Parts: sequence; C-alpha cells; structure tokens
Amino acid sequence: MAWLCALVACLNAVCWSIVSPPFQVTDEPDHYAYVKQLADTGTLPNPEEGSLATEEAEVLTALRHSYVRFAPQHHTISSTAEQRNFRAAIASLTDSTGSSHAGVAASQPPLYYAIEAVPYLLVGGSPLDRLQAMRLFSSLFAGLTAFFAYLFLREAIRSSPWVWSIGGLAVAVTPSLGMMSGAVNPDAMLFAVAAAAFYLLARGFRRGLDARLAVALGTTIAIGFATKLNFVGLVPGLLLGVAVLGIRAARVSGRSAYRTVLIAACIGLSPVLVATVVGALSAPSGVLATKVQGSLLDKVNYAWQLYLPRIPGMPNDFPGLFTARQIWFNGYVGLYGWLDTRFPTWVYNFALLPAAAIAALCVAAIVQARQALRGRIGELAVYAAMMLGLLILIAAACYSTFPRRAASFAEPRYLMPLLPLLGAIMALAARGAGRRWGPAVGCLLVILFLGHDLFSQMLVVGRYYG
Amino acid sequence: MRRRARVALATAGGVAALLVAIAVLLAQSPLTVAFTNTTSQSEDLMANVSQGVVKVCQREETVPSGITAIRLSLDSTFGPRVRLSIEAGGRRLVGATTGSGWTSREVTFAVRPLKRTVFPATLCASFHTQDELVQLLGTPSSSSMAARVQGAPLSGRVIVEYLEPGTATWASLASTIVHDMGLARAAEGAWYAYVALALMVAALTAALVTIRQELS
Repeated sequence: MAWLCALVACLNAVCWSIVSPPFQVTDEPDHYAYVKQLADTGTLPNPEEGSLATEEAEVLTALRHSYVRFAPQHHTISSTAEQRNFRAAIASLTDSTGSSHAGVAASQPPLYYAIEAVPYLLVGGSPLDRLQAMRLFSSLFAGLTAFFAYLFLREAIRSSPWVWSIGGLAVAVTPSLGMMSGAVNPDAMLFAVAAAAFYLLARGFRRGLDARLAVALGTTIAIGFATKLNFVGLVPGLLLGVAVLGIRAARVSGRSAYRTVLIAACIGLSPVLVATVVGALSAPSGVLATKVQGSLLDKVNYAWQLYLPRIPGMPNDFPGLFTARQIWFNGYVGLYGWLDTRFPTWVYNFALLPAAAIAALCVAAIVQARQALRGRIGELAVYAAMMLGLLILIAAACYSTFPRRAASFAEPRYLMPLLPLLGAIMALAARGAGRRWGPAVGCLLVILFLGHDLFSQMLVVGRYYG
Repeated sequence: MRRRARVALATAGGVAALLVAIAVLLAQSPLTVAFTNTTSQSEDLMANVSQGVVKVCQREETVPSGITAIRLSLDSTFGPRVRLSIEAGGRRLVGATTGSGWTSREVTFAVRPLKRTVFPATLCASFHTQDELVQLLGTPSSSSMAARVQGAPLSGRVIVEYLEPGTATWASLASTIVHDMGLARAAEGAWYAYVALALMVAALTAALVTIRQELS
C-alpha cells in the first residue's frame, strides 16, 4: 500500500510539473542556476551578487518571465507572434557555462543539486528540455515522501491499519507537495528526508533502537543536512528522539545502548564536521548572515505572533493580520506559482468548514485514545520538538527582514517537512468518526484532498493559460 | 448499513460532488479586462510607502459600465486592508474594501456594476501600513495627470484594470488553454495538456481504487 501512495504522489507531481509553466514556481530560476553551475563547472555558486548565466537569462527573457511572475493578470506566451519570437530566441541562445550567481539558492548545501545534475547532463538539449527532465526527476521525491509518510503512520498508529492509507493518500495528493516536487527545488528532497526521519523515529519508538536503526537515523540526518538549510530546524527534535530512544534501550540492554546513540549522532553530525573542516561554515551567508536587531523578548513576541493570536500587552507586529489564518491556513489552502496565484476569497472561507470538522474529529480521536497516548508522551514530545524547531527557524528567518517585510519567509511550503504529521491528523480524524462511520469519513477525506489538489491545478491552469 | 456499502456510498457521493463542482466551474466565465488606464506592458515603481495612513488618488479615470471588479497594481508581501472609492461630479459611485494579507503585484476589489460609463472619475485607494512596505506600480505620465499620494504628485499613474465577466465559459476556452499549455515548452504541442489530464485521472483512479480496497 505504501507503494500505491508513492505512485499516486509521483503521478500527481508529474502532473504539476506539466501544469506549472517553466520557471514559474518560487525560486526555480535560482535552483536551476545552481544545478547548471555545478554540472557545467563542477564548482559551487557564490552567495554574492551577480547575474545568471547568459543562456538562462536569455531563456527567461524569451519566456517573458519577469512580466508573468507576480502578476496574475499576465499570462504565458499565447499569440502566434509571441510564439515566433520565442522560437527565434531559443534558436539563437548563447551557449554559456554556469554562472557563479544562483540567487537565493547559492547558500544551500549541494546534495539535491548534485543529484539533479544527473538528468541535467543526461538529457542535454535546450534549458527547457533540461528543466523538464529535472522536474520529472524531482517528482520521484514526492513518491518517497508519501511512501515514508505511510510507513510512519503504520508505525505510529499500529492499532488501526485501515487509517494508514487515508493519511498516506492525503499526503500524496497535497497540492503543495505536488507543486514543489514537480519543480526544481530542494524542498522536494527535504520533504522526503523529513518523512523518512519521522518514520525511523516512529519505528524506533515501536521496536527499540538497534545499531541498524541508529545508522539509518544518522544517515538520514546527514542527508538532511546536505539537502537544505531548513533541515536544521528539525535536528534538535531528531537528536532528542535519538537520546530518548537511547535511554529506553539502555533500560533493556544496559550501557551498550549508548553506543548506538553515539553512532547515530556521529553519522548525523558528520556533514557539519566536514563543512567546518573545509571552511564552508566559516562565512555564513544569506539569512544566516543577517544581523538581527531587537531584544530576546522582541524576538519571542514576534515568533509567537507569527503563528498565534497576539496576547494583550504584546506589541502588535502584524497589525491587521491574523497570521494563523491569513498566512498559514490560507497559504496552505492555495498559494501557488510565485505566491501570486490564489483562489477567490470565498474559497478560503469555505475551507474553514472541512478544516473545523477535521479538527473536531481529530480531537475526538485523541480524547478516545488519551490513556494510550499517556504512555507515549516521550514520542509525542519528540515530534513536537521537531515541529517547534522548524517553527522557530522560520520565525528567525522572517525576523531578519522585519519590520520592512512583515514575514518574508512565511510560506506554507516551509512547513511541509511536517507532512507526516498532517497524514497523522487525517488518519486520526477518520478514527475519530468511530468504527462504524470512520471508513466512510476517511473515504470522504481522501476525496476532499483529491478535490483540493484538482482545483488547485485548475487554478494554476486558469492563471497562466486562461 | 454494512461497512462496504457505507464506503461505496461515500465514494459515490464524494466523486459525484466533485464532478458537479467541476461542471459548475467549467460553466462559469473568467473575468476579462474591460478597460485599463495603460497600454504599456511594463510596470514602473511609482512610490514605496511603509508608514502611516496613505491615500493615493488619480483623476481622469474612465470607469466602464458593467464591471464587477477593479484591479490595482500594488505590491506587498502581506498587504494591508485597502479601501477603494471612486467619485465623479461630487458623488461617490464605488466603495469597496479588500481584506489584509493579499500578496504579489495586484489587489482586486469586487464592485457593484455601474449602469453607464463614467468619465472623468477620481479613484482613491487608502490604507494604513505600520512598517510593511507597499509599492505603487504604474506607468510614467505628466505631473498634472499623475497619481497623488497625500496630495503630492508621483512620477506617473498607478495601473488600474476594470474587469467584467467574460462571454466565454471556461469550458469553451478549453481548446485555447490546451493550445497555450503546449507553447514555450521543451517539445511544443497540445499533448502536454492531454498528458496532464491523463496523469490526473490516473492519480485520481489509483487513489480511489486504493481507498476502496483498503476500507471496504
């Protein structure tokens, strides 16, 4: 069944890769530029200012990229004259090697880009050929994400096998997963690595920590470090998880269990060690390099209000904005392309109804299972720590541009590493409906998610080609 | 009712609701631009504002009859609540508000259609921003015709688009959309749209078969 969830996620991401016009997904030109630089020259891009490789810049111009981006009223190429100009521009592209400039992508670790260099080099042809090949390859990560999310549910909710596929399929057809995995963006791989980490931890909590699991966990952490900086947000929770598993194992097998903890930690932290040795961490760049003003209390206030309603007495950092609703909920319901493609307002209001029903069912399931959950408090604390770490990381990044920009990095896709938890919420919601109606409710939940995905793709089609 | 029957009923009901929603959507017409105050394809930055109450007004606007929405070229990460008003001959013709939290390079207001085209009209947009940057985008114009912020002229006019429901439904636009989806691609052709459709149907079918097998 995990494979079927993976298949659905892959098909969906491939569909998104076709629906999204070339380079019209957030930051895709920069991520393409990183791969191009790495594949063409074997060197990493430089975080300093510069311009894209001539070839890529010419393609973007031919696509009228900056005219279409951020402007939902502007469509992609449609007239015969525009098409003729486009063909002429593509036929006369300057064959250039990569540029050391890769915009916002430059400060990211290289693993995803190195993997994407394979389809880039294998396919050849024009940048559009290469981009499509890279997008297709990236779609495989959506499959891995759904696969591991299903396995996570299998370990985490063992007593109700019928809910596993509900959660797994809900993850598989999440529109943001499809959109990001159907584009060239390291988020695709990050989602898969994070889902694998959730699965391995859940497996550890069910079956205990042994040497094999320790190696797997350590390797996953190491891959995460090498995939995208955002993974750092999950690491405190992951290390806490390894520590808790180690303490549990020590109760059974004595002090030798701590050796497995050490194995996981050493493997997991090895990329940080290597980066320190080669000097890659000596000069933090991008958001990490930004000097942040304000007291600790200011930062805590800001982080709180970024996700939760303001408490009386706090300075108002988001005047007129209900962040939980307008940034996160509405963003999850529908914010595509370059964050410039939205549903009509009534859709976001309507979406509150199923969201409230799902929340109520989920709470009912938690109340029903409260006795069992009490015995799993350590495991739940680990998942909560992973979530909290990610939320703090996003808040810290957003605060770096505050108050000029209220929340520059507050994009729901940054929460997608927590997709297995979304799957768990859906699974619990189905369980909360009880044994009699649970399967039917679960079926409706999956269809709801399918509908959300379908209408999201139709929205994108209408925005760019309508 | 047995479990298998309940799941079958839920599947049938859910899929039927989905198909009805798709049919309703396809029968609707997208908004089209009835009139715009620019012919330029590019937008220039007219002003950056980030503090206090801002009121931007421009005269000599033509407001067509029958429009149902007005789109202003404003840019913000999470834009503030914006109030729009249009006056002509000392009378307020249009009043509309859009909520905060809008993103990207335009903000759209739903308005009641006017019975006749009005010219000249004065359009004003006002909002309050504490620190969040809001950019006004437009095209260059003479100082006398330029938009004014708190009475001071900018370097041009903010782009305004007046929208009305189109005559073509989404369903009737399908062939155009299929054609356009295949343009500016690695290998051009209408097959892109058909492949996307086939993939979507395959994903839907696989998901539904899986869920029915698991839950029945």
